Amino acid sequence: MNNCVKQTQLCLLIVIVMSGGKYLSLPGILASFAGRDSWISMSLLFAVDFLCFVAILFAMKNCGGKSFYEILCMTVSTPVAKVLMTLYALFFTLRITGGLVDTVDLMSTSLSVVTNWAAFILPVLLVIGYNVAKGLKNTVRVTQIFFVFILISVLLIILLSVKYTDLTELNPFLSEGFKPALDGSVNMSFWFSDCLFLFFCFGNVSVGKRFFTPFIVSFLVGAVLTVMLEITFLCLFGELAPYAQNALVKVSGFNIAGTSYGRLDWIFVIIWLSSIILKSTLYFWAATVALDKAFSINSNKGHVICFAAVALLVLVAPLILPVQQMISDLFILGAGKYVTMFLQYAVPILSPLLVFAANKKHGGEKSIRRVSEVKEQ
Amino acid sequence: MDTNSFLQKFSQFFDLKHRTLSLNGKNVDVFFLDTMCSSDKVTQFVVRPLIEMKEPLSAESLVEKIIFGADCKTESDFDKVCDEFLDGKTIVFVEKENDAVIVDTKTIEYRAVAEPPTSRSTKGPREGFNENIKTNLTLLRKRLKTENFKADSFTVGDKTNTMVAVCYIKGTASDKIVKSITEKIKTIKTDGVLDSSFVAVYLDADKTTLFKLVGSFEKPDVVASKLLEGKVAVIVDGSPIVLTLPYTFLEDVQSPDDYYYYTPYTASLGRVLRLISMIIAVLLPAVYVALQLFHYQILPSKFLITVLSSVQGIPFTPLVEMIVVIILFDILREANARMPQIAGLSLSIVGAIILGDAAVKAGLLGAPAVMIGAMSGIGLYSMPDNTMLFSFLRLCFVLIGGLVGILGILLGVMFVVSYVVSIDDFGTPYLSPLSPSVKKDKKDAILRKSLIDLNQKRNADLSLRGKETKQ
Repeated sequence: MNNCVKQTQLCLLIVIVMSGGKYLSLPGILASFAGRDSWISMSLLFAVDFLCFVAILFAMKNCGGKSFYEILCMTVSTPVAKVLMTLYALFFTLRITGGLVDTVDLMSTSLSVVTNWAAFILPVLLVIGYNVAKGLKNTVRVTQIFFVFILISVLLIILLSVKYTDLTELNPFLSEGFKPALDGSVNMSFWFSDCLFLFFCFGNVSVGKRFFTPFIVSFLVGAVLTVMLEITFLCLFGELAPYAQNALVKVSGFNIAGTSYGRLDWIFVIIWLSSIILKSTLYFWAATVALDKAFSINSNKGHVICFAAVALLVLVAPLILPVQQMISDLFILGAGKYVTMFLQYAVPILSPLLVFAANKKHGGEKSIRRVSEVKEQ
Repeated sequence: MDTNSFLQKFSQFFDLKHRTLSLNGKNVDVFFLDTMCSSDKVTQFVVRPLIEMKEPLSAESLVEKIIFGADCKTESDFDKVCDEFLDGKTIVFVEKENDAVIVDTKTIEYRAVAEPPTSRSTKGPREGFNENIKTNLTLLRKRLKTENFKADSFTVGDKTNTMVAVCYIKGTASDKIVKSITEKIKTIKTDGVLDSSFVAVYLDADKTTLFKLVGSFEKPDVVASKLLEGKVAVIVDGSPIVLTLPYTFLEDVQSPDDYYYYTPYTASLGRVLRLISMIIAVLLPAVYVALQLFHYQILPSKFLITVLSSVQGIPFTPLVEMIVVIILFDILREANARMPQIAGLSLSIVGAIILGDAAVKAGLLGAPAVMIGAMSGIGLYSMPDNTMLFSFLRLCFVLIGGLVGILGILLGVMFVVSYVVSIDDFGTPYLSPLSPSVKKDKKDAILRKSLIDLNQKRNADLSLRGKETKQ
């Protein structure tokens, strides 16, 4: 696996990962908690994510070429590091499964395809597996090719529907106070913190002259795109927003409103679906790396077994469990969200401290590769 | 060296010419192949000086003072002497001498330098390579008058002893790539090399051989420009196609006319059109089948009605119908490629108009399917070097589209892209400078900048080249 990537490649990936998957059932469910203020919930979550993102970047900049696992081992002990890695692997696996199950829903309800889960997931796993085997490098290169098409598709879906939006649907702001918006943020946090995968890129990123600016710009672009769609969705559906599932298809329906062109908007939706595959690939990679670390696996055979374990979970879980219901019960309404919040927010915020502690323990010695020493791609 | 062994070895050759001269009390045997050498040259440069010779007779004195041939040397290895003889050289044996004298009197008829039939250009040089390695090297040398232009030669093929030259500009090409290519050529073990494509197989980094990772060009100006960009050319004796390495996908999108004829804007438009044609050629039939079978709502209602009315009564499913159209088109193309030129036009008319029209009227195929197949077929030729590859991919995607629908096509495209971005050719990613993005090289990628900008880019081109990036 070759995991060395350039900063610019990673920035494109961040935009895709942040927006990919958030246009499925999330806007509708968020609206059920926060109503017309759900865009505020989303913005709040992105604001918190931003703080965590900056903390991760800070840690990445100063990691001195050490992997995140090495940092954890040096600071919180190896057993705790292994437990954390296992939890991250599970977290990514759940996110992949939830996202892909939602995608099947979108396919079967919107694109008129009766989709069998196994028939859907097996070809998807083939594409994902190939990229994971080739390493993060391959995924970012594929992202470079698809990025423009995905961005254009999303922008067209949003912009072509704008003329049918009614901004007054957002009024009044916070009519029931801040609590519904806050509830929305707390309950839906599971679907955010998309940049956690950066933990697994420590020591593998070659950076340009500026470290923070490109990353921050890409985060803001991803956040703005997602919030823009949420606002468009709310302005189109108003009070009905909680009942409108598969937000992107619902919004795109307005692209061709008043025309007899057929559902040409589905072409954009299909192109956008590639962002979900890319996001899933990235999370698969992160989950596989996390499992590698958790079980101290270094061989190729071990990597394959780790990938197979994650793939088996993703393949089998929706066949025997009501995954969407389970995620809702455990991580939206249940206490499971506090566990994921620890992984999503506490660990990132603490990561700069962990890095400093590790560096101090290491006597400031920079024996391992520095970030900037990684060869440019 | 034993003259009798030599004579015995080649006595069966009907074109073997042998003359024995008795000079200064020693026998001198002259051997040459009548079909490979010029008798006039042998007479003038070898036999006549020998007869007129007044010096003491030895192999070395022949080379140093007597024989007029410009390329003349002594050789003591019997096998090498035999190889040179078979290559068209004249061999002179002097009695009781260990060394034989080899004189270059080769004259083999080659095709004249002419415009290559497969890569014509509207404006710009019209010269093309021919089958003579020396002529081909001359065509390059006259464009690259620099001492840094190097050509290392090797002999490949146990039975053909084909000469292969590795050409590059020292200081511009990566030493590591040159070394890697020469090592690969040295390790070629084969009976015969009849064309550069035989060598290309050994240099191709893509072991699936699906994608072509070795450039092949017929025009010296194009190869010279590749050498200036830091690439390495491989010339094979007997082949008018010169190979260039490393090779990237976007080279297929580029055409010599982009530089000679078009402005940066029109050249860029041309390249974008070629890419769009490629996408249409590969994906349009598959998308059509998928839409008809699974997602007909995407089609505009009026077009949907037209499609439905035209496919009524067709005995095939949309998938089978499209496969029939594509296979028919491929058969026509194959026949057209091998048919005498004069019959080609007739075949096109029979195939495109009569067969297509008749099939629609007979109710075997629908008009939209024929039209989609034809559009896709035309698109295949936008990048002529990859016609067969695109045709193969088109068939695969039609099958995927017909069986899985549009999501299958998306996944298929993602898989192909994932595979293509993973291919490296001597350290140069196949999809560079698009992915990974190389800013300097993007000046001449899909959108082309002016030649002044491009000249500044020289040497910086393929900035990944030689960096040994396996990242």
